Amino acid sequence: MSNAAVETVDDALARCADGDRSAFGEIVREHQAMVYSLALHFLRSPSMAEDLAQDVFLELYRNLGSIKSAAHLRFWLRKVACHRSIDRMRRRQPDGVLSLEDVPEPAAAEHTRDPLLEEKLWRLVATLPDKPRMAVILRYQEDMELHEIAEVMGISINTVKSSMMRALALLRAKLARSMGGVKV
Amino acid sequence: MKPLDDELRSLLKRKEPPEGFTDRVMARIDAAPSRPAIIQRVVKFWRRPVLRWAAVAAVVCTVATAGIVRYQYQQRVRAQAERASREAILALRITNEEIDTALRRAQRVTLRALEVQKNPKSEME
Repeated sequence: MSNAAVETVDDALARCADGDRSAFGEIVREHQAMVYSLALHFLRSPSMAEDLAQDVFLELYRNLGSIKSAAHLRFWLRKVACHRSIDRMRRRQPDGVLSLEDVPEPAAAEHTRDPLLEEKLWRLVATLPDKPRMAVILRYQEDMELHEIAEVMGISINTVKSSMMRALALLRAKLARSMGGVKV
Repeated sequence: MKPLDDELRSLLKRKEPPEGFTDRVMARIDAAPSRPAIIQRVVKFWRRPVLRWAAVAAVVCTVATAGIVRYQYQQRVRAQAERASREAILALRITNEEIDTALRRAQRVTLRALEVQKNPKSEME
């Protein structure tokens, strides 16, 4: 997050404290991609991800008084989004029936990557257990350090380290196997 | 082929939510029942750090006062029990002495009665 963005969020937080509702809209706009993407990558359902992201911002609105700074806000949003996503995944019905809204959109024209490989990787990431999957998402979506992931997820750094290593080894092995032994 | 790290970074890029997301969040905030003004005021009041410390201090004082009062009450009860015990011992001692006196008197009467039986003349004299 750039210094200017931090200042903007700090300013929006101050205005929210003074009762300016439009400032909360600015906070949502600034962080919506982060919260929505965490939920989307974890749940793999656009409708559930939007619903969850809305819940997270609603909870933020109720707890705005406890937010001290832009950095604290980012940490809080990541933490709540991460825990709510894991909770929702556990509550999700095991039948795996998708609504029409949940069918992924066709690949955009700007895509230059192999859509088959992408889909394969998606499926492999989805097979990881909940916590290692969330750790991988935080690492590669948010570019977070291991200690930051540990703080957000409320687990030890050693647990993050070992589950990341296991998850990546598993992904490498499965991807190589599915591609006929090509090393990745 | 790119290494796995790059593949994952590219796969897990941030995506914007569907159009109108912020408006939908704001609409849900408007629709949600807000806390009554009095509760909001109380919550805001309690968020002041000075008040939190004052509350902690008040709790500590209350606990300390309750402890002192309880200790004094226990001391008073113990003193009363000791006094009652002393009085009971004294009463038992007095009763014991009176019983002794009564027994001695009864012995004397019995001995005299036996002497009279053995030697009726002495009674006559």
